[in-house]
Amino acid sequence: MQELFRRAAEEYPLNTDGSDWDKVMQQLHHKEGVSSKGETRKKEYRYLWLLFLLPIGFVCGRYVGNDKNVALVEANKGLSTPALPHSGTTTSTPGVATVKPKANDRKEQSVTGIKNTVLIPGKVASTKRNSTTSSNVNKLAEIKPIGALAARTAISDNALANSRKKRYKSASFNKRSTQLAANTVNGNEKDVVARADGAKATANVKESSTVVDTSLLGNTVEKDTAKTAQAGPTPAATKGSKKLNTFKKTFSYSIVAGGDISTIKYQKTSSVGYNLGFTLRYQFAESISVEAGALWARKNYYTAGEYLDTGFLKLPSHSTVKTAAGYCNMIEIPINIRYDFSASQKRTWFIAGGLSSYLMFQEDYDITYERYNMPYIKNYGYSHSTKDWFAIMNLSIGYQKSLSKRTNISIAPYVKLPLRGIGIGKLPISSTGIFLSLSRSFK
Amino acid sequence: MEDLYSIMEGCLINDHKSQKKLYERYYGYALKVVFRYIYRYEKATDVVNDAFVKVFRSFKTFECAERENLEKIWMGWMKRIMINTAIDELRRSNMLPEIGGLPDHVWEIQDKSQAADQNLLYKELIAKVKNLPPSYRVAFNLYIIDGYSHQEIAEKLGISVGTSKSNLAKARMQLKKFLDKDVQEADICSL
Repeated sequence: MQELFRRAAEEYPLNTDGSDWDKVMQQLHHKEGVSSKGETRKKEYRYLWLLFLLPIGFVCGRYVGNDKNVALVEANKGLSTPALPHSGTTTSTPGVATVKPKANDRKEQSVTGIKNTVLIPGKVASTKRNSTTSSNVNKLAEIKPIGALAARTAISDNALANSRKKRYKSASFNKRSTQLAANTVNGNEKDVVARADGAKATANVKESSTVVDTSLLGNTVEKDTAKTAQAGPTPAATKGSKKLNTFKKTFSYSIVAGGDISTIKYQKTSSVGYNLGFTLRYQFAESISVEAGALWARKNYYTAGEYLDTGFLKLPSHSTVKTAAGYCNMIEIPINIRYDFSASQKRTWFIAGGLSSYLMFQEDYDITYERYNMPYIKNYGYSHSTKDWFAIMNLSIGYQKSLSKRTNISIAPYVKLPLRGIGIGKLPISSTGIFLSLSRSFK
Repeated sequence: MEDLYSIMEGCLINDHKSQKKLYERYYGYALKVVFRYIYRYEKATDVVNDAFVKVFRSFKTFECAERENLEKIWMGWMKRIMINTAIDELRRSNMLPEIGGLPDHVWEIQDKSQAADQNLLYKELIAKVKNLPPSYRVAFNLYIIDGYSHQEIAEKLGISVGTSKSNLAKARMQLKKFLDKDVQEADICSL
């Protein structure tokens, strides 16, 4: 009887024409739609943390990126300010020698270094600050060579200034004014003019005539220079800083190549992979740029079975995946923000960070699994399996060297950390390696 | 006819064409399974459609290591989903018996081949099973036709093993009565 009913269940004549795929499709879409909506919303929220990067970008752009400008403005202020203690020294205060240049500004340091060479005799002069008294007339003879030294220094300083960039002109101008003011106060103005007879030195004296005149009018140099200092940088200094402020936004392209070592949860590594591609970089601030590109990448990896999502394997029940070794070929799309933390004309040090997307072209796995204590090996190959958008976080530090005005070469070790599982096996692949790139900027 | 394996590969990546092919190919089989449990034909088709949605949604959990037995394993897997969906539907209706006969259009139109008599018998047998009260019907279908154990039936239906056995025994008894009655009627007719 049982067998009869079984056969009847299999072969009974039922009208099966009523299939309605559209209905199924509708239900399927409805459910997919509901779930995918939720997933999309989740995905949207997942990247909200990127908003936290915005203030960093702002801070970098506002302050860090303009460090040089700020420093220059300060330097210019500093360059005009030393006139205050110097002149003060020559008039009343002997403490000039204690005035030190700001350590954080090399340009100022070099200038004030010269000042110090001048101010050492100036210090002698300061000890004879009451040089106008008759008792110190003899000592004026001692001061004469000082004046000569000052004049010579002024000439050499002038030559130095000529050899430097225009932005330093204001600095030397202020310095010379200070020196002359000091000498003038000591009553050696004529000596200075006489000994600095050369055209350059004369010019210097003329330049500083206003200061000299002021000092002659009543030794109020201190007050005047103080006023000058309060008024901020001299027009020349401002002009200089304006010139340095001129930043040009640049667009450059690079050819990138490098080795790649991939690991999953820091297990043993497989053979070395590679990256090859191009990037485009847009420098929109003095130290900050954004770069994006496309790289063809091959990653080799190995993992224990526990990290592999075995859903795609379709293994028979009671199977346990032991290991998986494989490789993947993909297109990587990195989007990074780069910050040049140390830059000169010839070389640049930079750090970069951002996110990468992996578009899988090919995945190949050699799976070792056990079933009832019997080991098996099976190979799985997939093409165009997944697209993992923004699944990887990039971090790199690099050194860039200029080969010519528009061509640079750079080397950048990098780390790529997974934000979620990648590929059909949802593996958390971390990578490290070194990028070598040759870049050229557009005009 | 397209290879089942390639259709399944398509279903794995949610390819709707492949899903449609799979649905159309196995709709009849699925309906035959479900119709044994669900009395009303229209309801049975709805249950089948619901079950197929479940099938496609959980397709990635389908595992088959032996390609030569792919269809067998696939049909077994799909059948389990169909049965579960049908039982869920019966539970929703509190296993209440339904009244009214089965209209003719639910049966396949018979040709006059040699198998016609056999098909008629099968149709009668299934109709008898469908006429059982739902709890007996489910126990009978699960145990006798689909090969579940009493333990599994008890777990599936949320009843005790004893109840399952009792339901099956009563189902058998009723069917035997029907069959005996039919045999007697046939004997009378043959005289």
